[in-house]
Amino acid sequence: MVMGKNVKTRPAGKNDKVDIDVISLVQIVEKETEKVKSNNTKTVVTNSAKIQGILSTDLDLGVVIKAENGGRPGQSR
Amino acid sequence: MDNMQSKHFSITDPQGVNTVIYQVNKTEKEFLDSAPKYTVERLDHTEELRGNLNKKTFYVDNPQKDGNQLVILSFANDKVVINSGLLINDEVRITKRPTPFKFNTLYSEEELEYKDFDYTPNLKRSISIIDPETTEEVKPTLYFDEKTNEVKGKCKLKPYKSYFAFEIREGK
Repeated sequence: MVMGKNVKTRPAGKNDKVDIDVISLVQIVEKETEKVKSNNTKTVVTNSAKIQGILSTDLDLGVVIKAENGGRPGQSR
Repeated sequence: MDNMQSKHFSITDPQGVNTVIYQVNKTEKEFLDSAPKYTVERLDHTEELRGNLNKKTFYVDNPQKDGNQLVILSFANDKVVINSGLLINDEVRITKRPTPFKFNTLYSEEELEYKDFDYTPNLKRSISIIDPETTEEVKPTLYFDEKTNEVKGKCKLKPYKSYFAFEIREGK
C-alpha cells in the first residue's frame, strides 16, 4: 500500500473490527492491433472468487500458536 | 501506546505451500482525510528447512496489550487459504475458519509480457496485490497525471496470469 511518509499508524487490536476483502484481478487481453498496441490490456477488478476445498496447512479454526519473546536474530529487543 | 518486547512465533508449511503474514495497522485519526483507515504491513520472517517441511518464524516488533491483528495467507498452486489471527500475550489465536479461494484466469496462453495498468486512482483504498507464484508483492509506482491533475499509481502485471489482491475494510 502506498501512503504518505508521515502518516502515523498503530497495530489494530482485538477491539478493531476489520474484514478481509478478496479482490479477483481478471486481466482481459484484447486482440492486439497496430492502432492500440500500447493499450490493449484491460484489468477488471471484481470482488468475486471461487471457493475451493480446504488446503492442508497446520492452521485451522481455533488453533493457538505459542508466541515467544524476542525479535529477529541479532536484534536487541 | 504500550510498547512491549518484540515477539515471534512459528508455523510450518508443508511442501508446495508458501505462507505470508501481514499485520493490520490502523491509521491515527488526524491522518484519515488522506489515508485509508486500515493498511497492512508484511511481517519479516526467517526460514528453516526440515525435510519437506519449511518452518517459518515470524517477527512482530511492536506487540500491543490489546493484541495485533494478523492476516495469514497460504499460497499453493492455484489456491490461497486466508486465515485471520490475533497475537495477544504469548499466543496467536486463529480467529476465523480458513477461507480457500481459487484464482480466476480468463486467458491462459504462453506469452509472458509486462503491461502497465492504472492502479489506485483513489489512494484511500489499501489494495495489496500479490504474485501467487513468488508471494512477492506487486508494488505500484506513483506518477502525476497532468491531464487529470491527480497522483496515480501504475503496476506492471503479466497478462494471461492471475494475481491475488485483497484489502482491509472496517468490519460491520
